[in-house]
Amino acid sequence: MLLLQEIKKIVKSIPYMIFVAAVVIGLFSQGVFRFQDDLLEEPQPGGSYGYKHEEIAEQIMPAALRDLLTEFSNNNYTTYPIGFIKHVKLSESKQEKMAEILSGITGNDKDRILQEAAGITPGASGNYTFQIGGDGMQQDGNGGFTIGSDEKQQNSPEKMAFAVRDDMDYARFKELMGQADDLLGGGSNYAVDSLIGYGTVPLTYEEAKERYDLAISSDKVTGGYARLFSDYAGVMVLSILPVFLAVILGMKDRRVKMEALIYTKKISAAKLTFIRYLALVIAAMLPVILISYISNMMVWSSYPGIQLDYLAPLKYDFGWLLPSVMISTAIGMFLTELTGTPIAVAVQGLWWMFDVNLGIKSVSSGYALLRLAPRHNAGADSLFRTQDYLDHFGDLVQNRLLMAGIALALILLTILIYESKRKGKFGGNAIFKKAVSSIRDRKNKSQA
Amino acid sequence: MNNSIEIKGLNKFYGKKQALFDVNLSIQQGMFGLLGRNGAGKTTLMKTLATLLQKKNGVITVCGVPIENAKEIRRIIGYLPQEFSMYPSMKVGEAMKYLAILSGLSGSQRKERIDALLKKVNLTEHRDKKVKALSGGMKRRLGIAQALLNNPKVLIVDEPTAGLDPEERVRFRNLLSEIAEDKIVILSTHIVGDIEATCEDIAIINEGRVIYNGTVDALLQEAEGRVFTMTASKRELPELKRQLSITSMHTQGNKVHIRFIADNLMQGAKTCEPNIEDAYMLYLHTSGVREILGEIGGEW
Repeated sequence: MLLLQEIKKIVKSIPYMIFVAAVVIGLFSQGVFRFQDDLLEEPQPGGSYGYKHEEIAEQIMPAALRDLLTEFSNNNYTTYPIGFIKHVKLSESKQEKMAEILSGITGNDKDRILQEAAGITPGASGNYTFQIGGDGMQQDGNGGFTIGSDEKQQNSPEKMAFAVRDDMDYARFKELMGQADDLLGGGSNYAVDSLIGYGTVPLTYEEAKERYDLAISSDKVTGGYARLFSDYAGVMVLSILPVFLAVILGMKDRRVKMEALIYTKKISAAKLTFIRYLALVIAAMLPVILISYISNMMVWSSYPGIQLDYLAPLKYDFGWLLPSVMISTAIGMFLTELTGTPIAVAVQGLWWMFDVNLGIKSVSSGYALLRLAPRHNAGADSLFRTQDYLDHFGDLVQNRLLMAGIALALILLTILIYESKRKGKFGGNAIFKKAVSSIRDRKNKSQA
Repeated sequence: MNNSIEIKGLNKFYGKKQALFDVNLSIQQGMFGLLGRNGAGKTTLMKTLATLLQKKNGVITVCGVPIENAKEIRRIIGYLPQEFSMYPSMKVGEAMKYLAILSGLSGSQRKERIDALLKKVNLTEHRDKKVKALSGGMKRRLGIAQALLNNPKVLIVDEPTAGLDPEERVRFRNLLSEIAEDKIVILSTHIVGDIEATCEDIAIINEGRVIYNGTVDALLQEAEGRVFTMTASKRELPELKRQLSITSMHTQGNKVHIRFIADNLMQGAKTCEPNIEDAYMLYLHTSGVREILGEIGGEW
């Protein structure tokens, strides 16, 4: 009965209506209502079936070298050290070290590599290419012309046409690339485990057919779409929005001055907190379950004759998305109860931003243990990437169980804090306000 | 289970600041008034009895239940804080139902109890009105109704009439008196009129100390012969204000009629019948004298 009352209280509130609107808009923007535009097609012999990554030294070595030379000549390297994109500019000494690595890979002299990067071809002084006309040429006041060199042209990668030395062993190449990655601070495409990205081979018909059959047998089609939905809903919506609901509703009793009335009632802190948590989680899941079905149902008619799993959206909603809602809501409830402030929004927001940016390099799949929202997006090789999902299923289960476990632990702590506050043993809000005002006082003093 | 509240040697601190000093009270069934200025420690005492604050030391039992047994205490008390509200968008009936669920009432108990209580506080016809649409007086009556949901043995009401218009105040006092027929009702207030109209037993609390504990009649008796009236010219008023503890005054043309407390009859003054306000002022006044004399070892 209390659960029903709490759910009613939530769904009739304005913050919840805003939440639902945000969920719908967020998911709509991710294209979950346009899944019928990407249909799983049975491969036919003689067609093109996409590609796959493979560790092919002959492909990887020249392609990785080409990229490294380009970045080296511009001294502008792209890395993802902690998930966030980072543009690295090396110091002169580190560029020299990078030149040594390139020297090791190409067999060319380090100085020559540095000179070429600077746009100077050794032994051919003044051997520049000038662009006549265009932006490079300007008429001066005496009727003459001033011709400027195009700096970009001078540093263009084509200028650094070095090849991998013939006797380069792939293991040694990986070692040198690893050193280059270390020099850049890690997270580059030259990291040993990232080099495989340079090796791509087309899929054969048999492989494509095998993947298609797996999607039909394992995902029963709808499972694949439910997974895509979960990827979008997890990262864009459910890892962040529930915290707002938890914070706003968590602060409501105090805001409307109802705290003391509730504190003195018979109900236990454990029952009240847990039921409120359950109500928030159910309320947050309701629109998601509904939309997941609407999204999934839109493709059902596109697969006549194939046995579909009509419960797939529900399975993914509970298995994949529920833990995200649980942790986001629990953080909201815990920090609101602890501090009496909306600080949970900032905390969860930071984690979410970090998690989203972590996904820049791993949108296609990401199941790390501490990921807030696991990723499993569509792939060029196959729409659902079923095998990849099955390979990482164990990691996904561990991640989801951990998130759910942390969420429940936070709720247990929330119960303890609630009971302490109820008995006047703990004044979380007062302590927090005191800390904030002392920081403010110190700041004011230092400004004075 | 007895029907009384026993408080012995109660001390309460907020950090290093002591809010209650060795409070001893015995509160029996009926209305009990706790009178004191704003900030005297009344709310601290009320909250301690309602298990919302922890005492530093001392012993409190509510109907035989030690205050440390918060779960059981919550079952037998009803509490109406000084400042409260309810979810503004909820209707009166819904708010009562929600709080009844939190009070652990079953479905049938809820219906029966809510109907009876709304009738008792005269809010039956406002059952479908949203809480935010209620007047201040109606909100207080709803507050009393919610505090009675669990049919408590003890009702703790903190400053319930502050801000109410005279008609609502009278109605509220009568309601509390009715409720006190079979319960302990502790009424905390700084409005002497509330006590005068409803309570037989009172305590006066000042700066965290109980300075009087007894019946209203005994308090009035103590003030007997020490309350006077006199008429003076307006010119004399500043000097009289400086010399006397004036409890009330009325201006009439050039004259001013004053009522004051003093130890001895002074020239031009007449002894009059004390009221509770006089007695209360006398106590506040003399408690200061007592403390000063106590400190220097004198007698009062």
